[in-house]
Amino acid sequence: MTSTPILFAASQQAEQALTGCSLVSVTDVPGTTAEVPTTTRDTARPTTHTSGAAFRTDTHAEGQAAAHPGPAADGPVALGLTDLTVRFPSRGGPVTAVTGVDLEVQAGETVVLVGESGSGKSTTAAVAAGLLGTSADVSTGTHTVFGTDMRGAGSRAWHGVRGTRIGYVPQDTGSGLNPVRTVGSQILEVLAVHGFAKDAARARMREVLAAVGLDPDHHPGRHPHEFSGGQRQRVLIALAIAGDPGLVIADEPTSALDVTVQKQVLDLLEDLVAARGAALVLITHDLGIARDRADRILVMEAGRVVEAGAADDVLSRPQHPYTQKLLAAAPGLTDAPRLRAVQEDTASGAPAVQVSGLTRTFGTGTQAVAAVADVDVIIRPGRTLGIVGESGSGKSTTARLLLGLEPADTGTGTVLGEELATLPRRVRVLSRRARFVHQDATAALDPRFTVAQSIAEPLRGFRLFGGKAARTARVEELLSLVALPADVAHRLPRELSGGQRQRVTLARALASDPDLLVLDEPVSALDVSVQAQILDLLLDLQDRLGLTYLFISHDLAVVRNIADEVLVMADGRIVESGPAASVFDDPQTELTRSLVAAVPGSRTPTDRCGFSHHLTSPDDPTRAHSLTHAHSLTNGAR
Amino acid sequence: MRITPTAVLILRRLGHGAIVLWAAYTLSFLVLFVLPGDPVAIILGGADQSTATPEQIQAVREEHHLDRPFLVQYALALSGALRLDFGTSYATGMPVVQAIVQSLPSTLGLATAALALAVVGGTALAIIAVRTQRPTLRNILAGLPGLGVAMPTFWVGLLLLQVFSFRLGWIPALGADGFLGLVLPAITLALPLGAMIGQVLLTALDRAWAEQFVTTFRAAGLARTRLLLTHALRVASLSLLSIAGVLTGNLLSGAVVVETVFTRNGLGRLAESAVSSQDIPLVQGIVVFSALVFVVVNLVTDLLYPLVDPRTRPAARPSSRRTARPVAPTAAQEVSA
Amino acid sequence: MSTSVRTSTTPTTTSATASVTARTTTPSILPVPADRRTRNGIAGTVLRAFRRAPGLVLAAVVLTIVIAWALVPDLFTEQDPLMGEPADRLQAPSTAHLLGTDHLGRDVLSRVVHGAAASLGTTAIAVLIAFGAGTLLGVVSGFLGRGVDAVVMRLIDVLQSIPGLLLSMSVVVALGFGSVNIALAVALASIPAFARVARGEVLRWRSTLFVEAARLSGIRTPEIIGRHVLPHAVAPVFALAALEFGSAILAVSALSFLGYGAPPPQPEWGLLVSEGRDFLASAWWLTTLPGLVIAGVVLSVNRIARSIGSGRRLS
Repeated sequence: MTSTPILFAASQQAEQALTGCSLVSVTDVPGTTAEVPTTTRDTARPTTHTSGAAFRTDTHAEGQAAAHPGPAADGPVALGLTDLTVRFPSRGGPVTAVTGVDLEVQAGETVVLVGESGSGKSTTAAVAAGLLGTSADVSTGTHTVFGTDMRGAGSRAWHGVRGTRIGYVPQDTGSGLNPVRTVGSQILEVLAVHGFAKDAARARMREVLAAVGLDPDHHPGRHPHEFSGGQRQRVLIALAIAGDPGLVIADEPTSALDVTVQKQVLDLLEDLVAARGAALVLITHDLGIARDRADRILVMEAGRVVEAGAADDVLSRPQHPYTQKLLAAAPGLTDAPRLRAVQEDTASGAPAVQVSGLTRTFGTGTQAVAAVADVDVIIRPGRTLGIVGESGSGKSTTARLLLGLEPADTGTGTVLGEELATLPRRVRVLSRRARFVHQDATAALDPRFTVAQSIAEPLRGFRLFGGKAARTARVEELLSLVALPADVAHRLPRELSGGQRQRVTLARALASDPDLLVLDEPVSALDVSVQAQILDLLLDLQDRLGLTYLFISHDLAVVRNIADEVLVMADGRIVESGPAASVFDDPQTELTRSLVAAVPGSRTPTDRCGFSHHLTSPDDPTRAHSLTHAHSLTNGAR
Repeated sequence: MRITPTAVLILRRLGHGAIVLWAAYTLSFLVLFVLPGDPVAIILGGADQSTATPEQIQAVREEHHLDRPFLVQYALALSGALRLDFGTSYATGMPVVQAIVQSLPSTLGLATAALALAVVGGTALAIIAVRTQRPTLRNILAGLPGLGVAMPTFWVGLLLLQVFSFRLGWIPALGADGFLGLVLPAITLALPLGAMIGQVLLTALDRAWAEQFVTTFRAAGLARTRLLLTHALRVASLSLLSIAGVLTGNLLSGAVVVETVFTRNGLGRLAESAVSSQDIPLVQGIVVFSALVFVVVNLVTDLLYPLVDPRTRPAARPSSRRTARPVAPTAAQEVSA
Repeated sequence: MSTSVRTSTTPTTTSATASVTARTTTPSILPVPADRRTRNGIAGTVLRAFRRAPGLVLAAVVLTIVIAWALVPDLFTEQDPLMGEPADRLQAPSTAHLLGTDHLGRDVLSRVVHGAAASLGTTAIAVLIAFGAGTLLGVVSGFLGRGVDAVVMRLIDVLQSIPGLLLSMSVVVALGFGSVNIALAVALASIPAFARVARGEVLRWRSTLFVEAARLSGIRTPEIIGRHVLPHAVAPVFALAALEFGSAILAVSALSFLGYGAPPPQPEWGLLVSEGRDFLASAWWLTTLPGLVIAGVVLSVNRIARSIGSGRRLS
């Protein structure tokens, strides 16, 4: 495998800039990448910077920010946006996306905008950065950027603001960078626009690449597709800070990343912004991220800010019912598992799934990649086994092997009494009793089929409940089982919400009265409040029907909430297994520890250093491991 | 010597091209020689076969191997084709290859001029349409390709002749040589081609403009025009490269009509007259030749593609593809949700 | 999203009618104001449609007229398309002869109107054949995969490697001149497009999650193909058929212009333009006006094809 090591070659300036509270790693021999967190325990905040000329030395707001989360009263206002209303034209008349939002950001503070999809948080950010298209109807009371009035500013006026006063970090969905140009040329072009001469631009590029933990020697010549998702996000951050802006707006910068990589990227963003004394506006759907990173939090719902205030106040004493609902719905690693009525003794009897030595290799020769290697799975009837791991860890392949959707190379054992070796030929028989629920309910439902038709499909396929009347009755029964009103039966999938669609796929899975449900990231595509409802439904169904679950997720908090037993997978292998509580509360392996530590919202106050730096002590091995391992994850067997 | 991935790619493409050529030859042989129609009658000059003596008929049959079984005919023809011998024209008796080579330069000049016009015109149209902030101008420009594609080429040619030769008298209708004679045919041929280029490029530019990297670099301070020229156009030009083969085919098809309308000698006119006189070997020769052109053009674009789009380089390893994760909606999606 | 989009995607199953009524009576999450549909009847609908998409309505009108020409030409002209009045030869457009007369004194409008049947008929046959054969090839290739797929795709490659007009011309050489032969020739040249789109669609829908879900629900392959794949796959092929109709008109008229179609007295559109070639200097209307009709029809067809394509994308 020709993996691309993340090379940390921090420049002199970057080291100085990050002094006191940062991660500086040094590498001298490519290939034997040693990433050493050169951190200090010093809780003293960096009050001075002997930084390179290009770095901002204005850091006066930092001290207050850490001590008293909240706007520094005497700081200059980085962004002043009041009474923002945004309407988009549509065929049915204008649609209001944002109503009366105030967003004020003081220099040096971190403000997190939290909201579910459709809450208007991204639109607000786009207006703040002057990036909203001309089709929108925007009205603002005031809109200032470092004191300059930006109301009605044309592209010429924004020209001096974008990149130099406001840096914007988009979410990298894979196309955040031009795919046909080298990363270096793209950065250099931006620097040229910011007025850097050729040599200065080159030097500055090396500087910012080093600052985001990339290799200034080798990375500029590469194209975006040669980078991992985390590295691409680092490049996007480099672009945003290249013009040394005083305000950085990051719109869901890490939502597409694995949790350990997410943590690295957010740490980096925080460090860089802090080192420049810049302000940060972070947009996220994840309350955990808000908890970890925010000085102030704005909670948005349906285009309005429903609650705003210091992070501590909002999170520990939420005033608005919506905030309270969100907080209650957000799964946390420290929460007690959801209440369940299952008695211990119902878990006796022969295991529903008992398989050992499961292996599956894709490709041949030097290209061979073990997607699943020597995995043992035991699921007791009526219980839930969670499999967690980052992308490419082999968790989904394991599930497909257990259902016979892929043939296993080796392995012995039984799934619901069926021999593993004969599974691929017995898929039809097994799939009636062991049902698969896909992550993406929208894609798993035929858009031309009504809800009733989709749910009745297994009844037709397995010839159950013969006769039209019996099937209609069964569909109604299933709808009520998943708590959907009977009148959705004749709707099409696109007339339903995301949560409703996932309920429909659940109803379809239950139609053939199965014993085992294999749930592949069943709530990952859903907003947090909907997520909680679906998880409750799953537990309720398990109680009522005595179902056995195999629950696959990248989200440790969700698994912790629902699973009895847990397998932690990485690179196709099981790295840790056991009861959910003990695995997450007292992880035995470094990998699990790093995964747990990276879960947003799990940061303790003592973790915070400087005004928003995150540090672990140098003698904590977790951190070092998490880094090296995360990079092997991102370049790993996929 | 180590076999590089690029070499493997080239060899595979060459093999593929050879198969296409062979199949094109065989298909045209089947269609032209097996289907109804008596070649002897055609060779001996039309339907009035009664005037020909049996000896004449026999001589013609032997000359063109028409007395042999079909498979033998095919084998003889194919082995001839491999030696670049496609037989002789029924009408003129000239070797087919020679007839094609003779008419090639004129058509090549016409095609080059038309292609240049089309590329310049189509690209300019697409760029201006994307760049302009005026909706009216944008709508007009976006509608032009549709108009250009809908107009029959032969009609456009006649219209131009009518206006510029007969009305205005700027260009002689017949016998204009050199540059002057090339102007109207080149414009006629370029029009549908330019429309197609404009349409494809405009769509590709719009798509590129909606890509996330445009937001990235707009936010980083790049001006609209620069973004368009250094980022969006680079990405959009890929789709132009991918239709190069189709464009070449359209050039050849168009040449048939244009050369007929403007009575220019060339490959297209040769094809037209070969069809009219049912000169089967000549028709087959031209068909196989155009397939050769197509294969070569596609080979070249296949080899060029990795240079323009690094993602398709055979040596490049794809980075780890991550599975879909809950992806936060963009501003536009949020509104539509 | 409007009602038309919703109803157009109603599954073609036995319960379709039931579901439509159910959906229109239950308040859906996409409310359509009831009064908007009922007010003013058809005239109002057309007027509103015109205001929203004037080009589309104009295209529909043009196409309706031209199709009527093909079906009942005598309704539009009383003049004989074949027999002219020698005294009236080469007259410019006037109220008596809206499009003027040709060198034999025949009314050009009458010839254009009577030519519609031949030109559109040939085109329709060509598109139908290409649609049928191409879709069949594509669907079979997409479903059977492997060997069959490889052979079919190579065949398609070969057909595509020869420029459309030249391919059609070689068919004409083999089959002889005439309208039906032209139709076959044009059909052969547009088979690749249909085959490619059909195959691509089948492959695309076959690999969807809902097909996997159906398979895991015990549904057998033929039913999956019939209920989950084909209903989705045909829509883009229909859109392509509309688009191909436009280019087929051009191809047919080009072949007819070159003289491979029906013999001269017949009023085919391409032939009409060709007949005017000798009178470019003296009678501009002979080439210009019939050509304008061709361009107008193709433009209209393409406009409608585009709206079919975008309507599909909406759903």
